Amino acid sequence: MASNSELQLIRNRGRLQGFENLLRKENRLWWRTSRWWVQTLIWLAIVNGILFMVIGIAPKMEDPPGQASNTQSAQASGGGGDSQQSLAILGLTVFLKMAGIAIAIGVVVLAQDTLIGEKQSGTAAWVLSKPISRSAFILSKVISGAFGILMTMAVVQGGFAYILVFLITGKAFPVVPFAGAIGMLFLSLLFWLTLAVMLSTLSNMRGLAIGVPLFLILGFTLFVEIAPWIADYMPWSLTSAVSSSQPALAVSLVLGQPIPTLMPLIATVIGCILFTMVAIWRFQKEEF
Amino acid sequence: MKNNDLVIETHGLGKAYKKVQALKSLDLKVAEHSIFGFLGPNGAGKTTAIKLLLGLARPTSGSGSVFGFDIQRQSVEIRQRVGYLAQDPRYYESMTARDTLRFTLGFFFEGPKDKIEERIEETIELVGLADKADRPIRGFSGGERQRLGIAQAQVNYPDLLILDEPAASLDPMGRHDVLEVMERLRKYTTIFYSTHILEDVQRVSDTVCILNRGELVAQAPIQELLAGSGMVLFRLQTRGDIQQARSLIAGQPWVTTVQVEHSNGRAEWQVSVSDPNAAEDLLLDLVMSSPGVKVTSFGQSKYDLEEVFMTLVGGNSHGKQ
Repeated sequence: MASNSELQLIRNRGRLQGFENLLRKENRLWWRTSRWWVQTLIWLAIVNGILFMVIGIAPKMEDPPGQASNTQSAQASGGGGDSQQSLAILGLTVFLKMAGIAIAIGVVVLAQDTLIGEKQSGTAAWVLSKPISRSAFILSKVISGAFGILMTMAVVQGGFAYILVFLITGKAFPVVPFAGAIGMLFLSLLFWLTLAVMLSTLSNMRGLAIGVPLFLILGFTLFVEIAPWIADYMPWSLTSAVSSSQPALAVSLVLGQPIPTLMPLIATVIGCILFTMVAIWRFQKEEF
Repeated sequence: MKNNDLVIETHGLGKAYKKVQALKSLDLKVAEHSIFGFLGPNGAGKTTAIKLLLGLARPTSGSGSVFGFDIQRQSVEIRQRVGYLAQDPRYYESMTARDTLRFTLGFFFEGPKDKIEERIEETIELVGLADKADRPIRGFSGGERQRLGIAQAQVNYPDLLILDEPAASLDPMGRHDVLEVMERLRKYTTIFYSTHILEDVQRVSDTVCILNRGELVAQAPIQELLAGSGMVLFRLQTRGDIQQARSLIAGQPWVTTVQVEHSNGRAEWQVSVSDPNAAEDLLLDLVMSSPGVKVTSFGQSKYDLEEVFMTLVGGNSHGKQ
């Protein structure tokens, strides 16, 4: 009957059947609802708010009233450049660490809901009764989530932090390495996104899908103390210093310092791919 | 029935959830352009069977095909030609009815845009949601959601419409509308629908399958089922002494059972027969030939579906699905 209408039938796209339509819908949920600006504002307030307090307010509070500030003294004695540089580096370090932890928690909460919420509400069963492949369903969620996170949680926050650091310290980081650092932040967020999606396909328990990533995000210092080698296989060191001798890879990149190891970067990429593949495999077996 | 006229065909289709056998060896044959009523009490396995046909669940035994496509390996191809309304349909609450239909059509057609919008409009009109089309679904009543459900199920011009309890949550007017839509669609599509509202089935279905506790208990064209062996009933109303007449009728080889109830000096007869033609020719004459009996009414009365259903299913199967 459909073939008799004037409408053009969708061509068979195999494992990606229905992907474009699903991606449009997912993007719509990100960009045509309040989600994008809510997420942008939340992380501006939390991450850049803390950054502002650390490099904009805290240094002034450390200087007793009536005395010239450390910053001013440093400038007067000709050492202002170094002090401001230190403040800028502090800002960069704080921003990346905060973003790597706080935003990661937000990503996990959002990611588990996108799948478990749909399974529990019944909308997933409805969508899957249409001619779509299950891999398209998972990929549309991962890709739209990744893009939403990239824009609202990495690019906007990074751009704002860059401007904030420049306005407060007068120091501008080189743009390309800074963009690379934001790329590393995004990659670490993608890791937590795909992990939460994978866990959401393995179980309908929100506690599991949130708890496991949160345990890994918040407990990283403990893990690194027990088994330092584990830092090479997790995304922690992309945005946070895992020891006093090893700064965050993203910080090293911006400062033009040699990057001690690429292993965390490679492991994070592999993790993202692996988690997505497991999620697709598991979702194929899901019954509704 | 030729196999290539069959839209749905299953062989020993079964589904077990851990230790619960939800569906046992279902053999279904659904012919093209039929309105196929899939009947059964709650928990009979109707929804499970539908989910297996759509690839939303995997069978643990047997096999099945829809339009010749295997239900396990080719479910995307099947769903390309099917419209489905779930028992308790859920949609994205922030979307409007129009968005929902646009989203649904997006899985089937890629253009042209004006024709897609035309089709959406036509469907909205068909189900009577024109004044609500641009409001978010979160504000819809149960009946409006059901109308939207029917709209999204048939917006893609399906060759097969699978409706799981389409009228269950509707008021009498809503039910009437749904049945009317189904009757209107039958010339374009095959309709396979599950229900426990027997009146609706008797009104629109041409073939019926009765499922109970996961087992198929009957499958036949509705007329055949209603008129099944020994199932034709004659009703008489008489006055006077019926003793002799009753013995005479009960002794006829084509009579299966005779039941008589007395009220207000009249006798209400229900005579179940195995040969309706013999009964038509002889029953009235035999009763009237008995002295002292006056017949005040006489007629053939087929069993209704409820009687057939209760006979086949029994009265103790109202578990929860």
